Amino acid sequence: MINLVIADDHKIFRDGLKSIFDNQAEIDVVGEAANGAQVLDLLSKQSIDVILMDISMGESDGIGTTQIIKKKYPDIKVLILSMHNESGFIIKSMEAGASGYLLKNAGKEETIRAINTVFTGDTYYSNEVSEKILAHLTQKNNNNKGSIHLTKREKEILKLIAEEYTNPEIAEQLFISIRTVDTHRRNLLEKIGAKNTVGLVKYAIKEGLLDL
Amino acid sequence: MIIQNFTEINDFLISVFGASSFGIIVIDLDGEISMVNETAVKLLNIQIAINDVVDTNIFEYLEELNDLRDQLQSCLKKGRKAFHISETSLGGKCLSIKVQPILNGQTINIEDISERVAARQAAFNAILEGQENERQRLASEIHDGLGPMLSTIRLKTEALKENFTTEGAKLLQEISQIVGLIDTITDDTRNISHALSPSSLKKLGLVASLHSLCENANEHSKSNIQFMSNGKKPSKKLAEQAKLNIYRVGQELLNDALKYSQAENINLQLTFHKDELLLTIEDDGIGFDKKKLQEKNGIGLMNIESRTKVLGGTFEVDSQPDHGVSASIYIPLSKETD
Repeated sequence: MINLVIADDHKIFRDGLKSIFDNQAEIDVVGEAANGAQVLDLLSKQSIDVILMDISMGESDGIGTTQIIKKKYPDIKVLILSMHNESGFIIKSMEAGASGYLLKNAGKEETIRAINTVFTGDTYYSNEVSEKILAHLTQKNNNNKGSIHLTKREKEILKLIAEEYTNPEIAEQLFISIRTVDTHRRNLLEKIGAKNTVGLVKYAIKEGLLDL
Repeated sequence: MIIQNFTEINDFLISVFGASSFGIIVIDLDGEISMVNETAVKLLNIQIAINDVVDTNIFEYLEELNDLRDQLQSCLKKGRKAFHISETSLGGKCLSIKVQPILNGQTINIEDISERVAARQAAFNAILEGQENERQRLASEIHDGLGPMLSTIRLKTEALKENFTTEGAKLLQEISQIVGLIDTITDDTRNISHALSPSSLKKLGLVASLHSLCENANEHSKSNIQFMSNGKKPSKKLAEQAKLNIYRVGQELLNDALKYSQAENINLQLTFHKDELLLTIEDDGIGFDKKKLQEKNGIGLMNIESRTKVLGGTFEVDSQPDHGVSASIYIPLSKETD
């Protein structure tokens, strides 16, 4: 038997969710909460296995609540059930210690499967969520290549700087204004962490940009 | 009052001239000052006594007024003409300057419009703030009102499926279609709510929100959209209002690029510098002729400009046909925290 708590600030949705567990012998909805404080209150009173947790509950925040729960009751599993499909929310939930992340378009079967999965100690992420995590990680990886990631334009400009072109010459070659070239130059200095043009050139040589 | 002779007319006109709330300077064909009033001396921050200003050259006082200097110089070279510099700043004041040719010279009329400009900016800020409040209200109505209803309808409709055996295949199929429709509405609702007010901004911060914005756009667009940031935290924490304005500018820049550029690649970048924040967007699309910029897509650019002004920053667009667009927003980090 899985003791489940539903945390969502909308009663109508909680009722709807509860009704899908009516015929599920293995899941027992033992409590409902409309915000983080109510969840913590429930936890102090009874033994709970899994919490279905919304992220935006009015002023209260499901991710912060998850963090507190995992600190106090590391064995309780939190399954996020949210409207938010942005990778930022998903990553933060994972960091807070949630065992899984479902979007609110999850059907009955998937919701039940997810609850069973996190109960046994595994993680569960719906397909859309997994794709978001993957996309996020791929981009992060790209950004981490040599820890500095330059845009195509920045590479072009860096190459021209290293080849001793002046700002006006670079502007003319790339069909941009001198001010834009200067902006790129400043961004390059900041991103590469160089103090001056010499530093930029050193970096360009090290990264093999001159051979492009 | 009856004016009887030349001296009286002269004294009378000089007193009118002196009392004017406009700064007035009369110069001759070489730029030598023949008449000047007290207001003009004050507005131009001229440090010498008014009587000593007469017979000096106007260009001695125009070091910080490039516009006026350049146009007056061109008048001296190419002949006099009337012109108007509608808004220029000098020593913290905002000035409006009108130049008229007169007999053997030119008059320069200077008006202090600082108060008017400040009032306009305040009115604009109030409009922006009102607009944002209203958007936020609508977004939460949609998110908290429609959202849970739709989710509940979906759950209940899906649960109906259980009541059908294989004979109900047709009905099962219809229910699946209804569920599909509900999903579409839910997605639309979420997107509308998010466009109205990005709930992620407060919870995830500016960098992650701009990242999500690009990620989402990337999913729905043919262009390859990338977001980059050097991720450094600015020395002072950005005010919520500033974050929102920067986010909106990013949103507007990206929308414009998606709408017009036909680019293969779009890159939005937020770079934190020591004393400045730089938001840049670049694409490799069709670009445009900067001279024709005003007619095309004016409102989007006006919004960007206004929000940039609220942030105390500057906005620049750079483009040529067939060579993409680069747009940059420079925001000083000391100012926008209040």
